[in-house]
Amino acid sequence: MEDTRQNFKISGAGSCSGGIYDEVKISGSGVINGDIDCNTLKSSGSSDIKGNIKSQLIKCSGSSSVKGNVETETMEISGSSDIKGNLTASDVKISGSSGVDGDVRVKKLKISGGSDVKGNLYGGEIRVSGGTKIGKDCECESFIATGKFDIKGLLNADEIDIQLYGRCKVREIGGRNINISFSSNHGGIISQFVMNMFVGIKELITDSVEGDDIFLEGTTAKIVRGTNVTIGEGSNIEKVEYTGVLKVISGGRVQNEVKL
Amino acid sequence: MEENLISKKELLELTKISYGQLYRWKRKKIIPEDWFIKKSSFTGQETFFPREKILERVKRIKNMKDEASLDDLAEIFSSKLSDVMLTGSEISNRKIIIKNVIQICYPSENMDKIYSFNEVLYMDVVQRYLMDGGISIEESKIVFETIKSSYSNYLEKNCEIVFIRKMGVGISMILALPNQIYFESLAKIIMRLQINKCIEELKLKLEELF
Repeated sequence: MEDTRQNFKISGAGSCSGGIYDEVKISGSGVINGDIDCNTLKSSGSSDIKGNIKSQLIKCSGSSSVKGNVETETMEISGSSDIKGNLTASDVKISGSSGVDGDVRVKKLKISGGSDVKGNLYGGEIRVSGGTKIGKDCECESFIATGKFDIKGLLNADEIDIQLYGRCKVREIGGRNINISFSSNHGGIISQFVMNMFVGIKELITDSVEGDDIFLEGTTAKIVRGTNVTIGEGSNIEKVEYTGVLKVISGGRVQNEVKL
Repeated sequence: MEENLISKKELLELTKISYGQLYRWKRKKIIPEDWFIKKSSFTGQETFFPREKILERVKRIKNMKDEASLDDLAEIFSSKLSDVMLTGSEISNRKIIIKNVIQICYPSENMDKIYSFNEVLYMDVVQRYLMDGGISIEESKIVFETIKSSYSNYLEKNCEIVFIRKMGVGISMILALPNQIYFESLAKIIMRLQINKCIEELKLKLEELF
């Protein structure tokens, strides 16, 4: 059968029961009572979707809530959105606030607003510059953060690059290259100054850090295990176990060091 | 059952792999999540692994990783069923399943019938049972019927096929793992077989052949 998908638009207040469409646009307040399968979904008002969404492109600039799972190629959220199920996508940009109750699977994720994932976050490249909360584990190829985050489980990535702002918390960190530093080379002197004024505390608290090459600033950890480890300014580590080289620089504190 | 465990530190020392590698393998699910056993220690938590299993797995990954990419390895070690299709004569010519076993399982089919991975897996299980010698051909048909009709309930989960016999009467069953079962003293466990191991080995066999 020929694929004859229709467009669907809600521009005042309206509701529909779901279905298969080409383009769905909600610019007033819309309620969709079932599952929806469409090529593009654009919502700029408030939308409430009671089922699952399957789409190629989703753009939300108003507020939206989804009761089911969301599966899409590209997703851009600049308003607030709330997904009760899982989110699966290849490219996601969040600049508003978003909440996902289930797991998130993405190839590329950029968060510059606040987001709260209650499940696991699996991904390729993850960039965080807003406040992010993850309820379980975060596993990805690269994790680049310049904002605040709180990860209740394990942060596992090949490349971990964290520039500290505010108070960051992770239960465990594991990976190959781990670099946690006070942000220094970003922006001019004035923006630095302003940032420092607003962000008093810059620290990361964790139980354990395990990796191959580790550089830590401003980090409080019970144990750090790795090949080559550098402990820098503002770090306080109870125990370091290393097999290669350990460097303690600019007043980093290590209570107990063990070369294996 | 108290398993013999190995700490993460000891594992890395013994196998000469790095934290980076281990975490990458974990991400790729080449090392199953449930092998990471957390135990509390003075640093909060320490991770342990089932010793035998992890040592064997790491050895295998190290041997294979020159030829196969990590994603291929992940495919092999996952309990997902692969999507190969083979004819009866291909299976027997390549010595995956011997002809007799194919005929026991599918007596009314000729050798041109195309079998899916699942079906090959079922025959593989039957073959292992028969090779072991503990059951008769008639009983092997019971095993085949059991797995054929019930395995779909356990897809992507680990389970085991158990065959017991009491006073000459054989019964086969599928159980989800991990489990603990006890039988009355007259019943004898003839054989138990973990399906994930079969899947893994069968995938490896197919990988080598194609």
